[in-house]
Amino acid sequence: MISPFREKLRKALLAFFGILFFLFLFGPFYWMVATSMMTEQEMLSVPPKLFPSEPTLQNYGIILGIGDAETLKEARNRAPAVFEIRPALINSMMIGVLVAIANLLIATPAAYAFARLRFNFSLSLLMIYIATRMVPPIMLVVPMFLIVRTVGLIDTPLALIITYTVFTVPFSIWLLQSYFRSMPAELEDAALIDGCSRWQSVRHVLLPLAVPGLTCVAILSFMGSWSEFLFAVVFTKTTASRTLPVVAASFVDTSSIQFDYVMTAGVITALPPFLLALIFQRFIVGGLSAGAVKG
Amino acid sequence: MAAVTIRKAHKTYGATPVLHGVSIDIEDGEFVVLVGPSGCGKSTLLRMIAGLEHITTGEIAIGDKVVNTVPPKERDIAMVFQNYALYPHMTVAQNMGFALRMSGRPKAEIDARVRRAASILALEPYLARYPKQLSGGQRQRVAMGRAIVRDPSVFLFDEPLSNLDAKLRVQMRTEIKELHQRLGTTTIYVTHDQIEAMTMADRIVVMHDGVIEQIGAPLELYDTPANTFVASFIGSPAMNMLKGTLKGGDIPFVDTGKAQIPVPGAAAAAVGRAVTVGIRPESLELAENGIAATVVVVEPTGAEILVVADIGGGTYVTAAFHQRYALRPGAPIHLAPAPGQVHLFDDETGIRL
Repeated sequence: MISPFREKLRKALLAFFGILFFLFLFGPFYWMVATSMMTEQEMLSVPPKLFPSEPTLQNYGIILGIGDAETLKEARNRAPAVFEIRPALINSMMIGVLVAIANLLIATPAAYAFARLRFNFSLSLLMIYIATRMVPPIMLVVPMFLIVRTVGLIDTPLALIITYTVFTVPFSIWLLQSYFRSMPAELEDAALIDGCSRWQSVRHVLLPLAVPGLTCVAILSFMGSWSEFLFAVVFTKTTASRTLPVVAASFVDTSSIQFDYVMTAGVITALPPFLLALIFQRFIVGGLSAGAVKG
Repeated sequence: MAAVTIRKAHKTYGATPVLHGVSIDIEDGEFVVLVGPSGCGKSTLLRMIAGLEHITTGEIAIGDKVVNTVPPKERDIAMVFQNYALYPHMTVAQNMGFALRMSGRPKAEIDARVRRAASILALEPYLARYPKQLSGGQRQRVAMGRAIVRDPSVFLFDEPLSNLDAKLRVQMRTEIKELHQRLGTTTIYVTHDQIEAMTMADRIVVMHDGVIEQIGAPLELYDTPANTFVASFIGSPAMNMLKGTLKGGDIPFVDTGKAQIPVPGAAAAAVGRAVTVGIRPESLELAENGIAATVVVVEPTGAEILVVADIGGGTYVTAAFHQRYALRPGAPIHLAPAPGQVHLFDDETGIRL
């Protein structure tokens, strides 16, 4: 029997550490969002302010090239790189989406084969796939750079699309094959008996039910390429192919740091993955195949 | 409608043999139940008939056509799975109409046939629902509806009632049998439950370790089991099996060491052999000159009383009485088999003598 005092103490401690942990996780994020909505003066004021006194979206406007000529000119003087954010956003978005699509197109049939067909060395092959994830990317940067340069893809989005696809597909296959395995094979048997060919059983039964898994794969590969920095910084040079993380980092140079722009770029970089997770978490978690079998 | 012929079907997974040459002739319109303990190969055989498993060697024919290499969709069969295997992303109506949609029938025809099947199975109120919104029994019915909508030549059932509770199972058993009587479609039904097999089948195929132990009508199997496996598998509670030696005399008898069981009409040639005597619980009667036994447990079921008794040395036999004898544990009784109700098997081979 725990005494009421100890029970209270226990709850208080739990609450204390809970709040501490929350601040630890959420604090930097809040700081980033708050700073992105401050003016330069406010941001640099001493003592630092916790809340923007007059929240403004001006920084976002500047980044997207919206605002009066005066403000834009001033921004150009402070940090010319600010106007690279918009093309970088487009690059990042395009690369992320194409990597996600490539993942779905490549990983789905591969995962189906691993999950449903019996063939020699399938497990070893899967292990090799996943083992490629154990290689630190830094080891591969130089050889990959040489390859990309040789085929003439330096400073093109395609270089990043291919690289990211190569790095994300193994995990996507792994994830999808275990997802397919978790789905009752009887459903496809039933479809075969109901007159489907193998392809039709996949198209009409397996894939519609695997939407949560497919979504998960698409989002993870999108996020993986969205926030990737190392390869992006090595393979890209100009606005033709630079991605958001690279541009955001460019605000930090030796002479000055434009915190407000860095923070704004940071929010813009963080927003899509955040929104994706928020919108689709229910979809990912909610097993659509409930009710398929007994239960 | 079609007959199904299985000739010397073998199945091996890698080096592991699962079926060792199984042959069955199933007549058009017949209701055949494949029964056996788990791992006996009955489901594998059904899946081979369905085309979901390859046939290693041998032949399976539906109608006049050997279907060894024919894909499932061209076999004109419908199958009901143990876990129903309803498509969760389709409504009941879409589930039932899926096969027709795949074969490219016009929408009006699909609707009409789904409605007809739904009315047979009392599923009309649920046509717009999704499987997860249905109870176990309703899902089972949808799975059957999906099968009958197509009007196939053969129905295959793979343990369809295993996931239902006891009461519903009995009810669905009746429904399936009634459906078969109404539609007359050749039906192959797999179960591990011998009561299901007994109550539903025209003919039962008893399987064990990949071979057929016996094929016959339910009562034929019950009354004249071909071997000890069938004898102990069919019937509940199971047949009592006692080992002993067959002795000659005016009336031949089996000496088990503890009791002497008369076996009138036993073949004289078998005298002296080691045998197994099988006596069904309901064939045992209380008789003054019977085998001495001590009551261990009394289990009233309402319709009958099951008495487990020790005939000496820890050998238990079960007797089923329709009279409500007042018996208590520890009471001494005498049990004797009803005349002519004793089964005799060779002790070594287990084959009926």
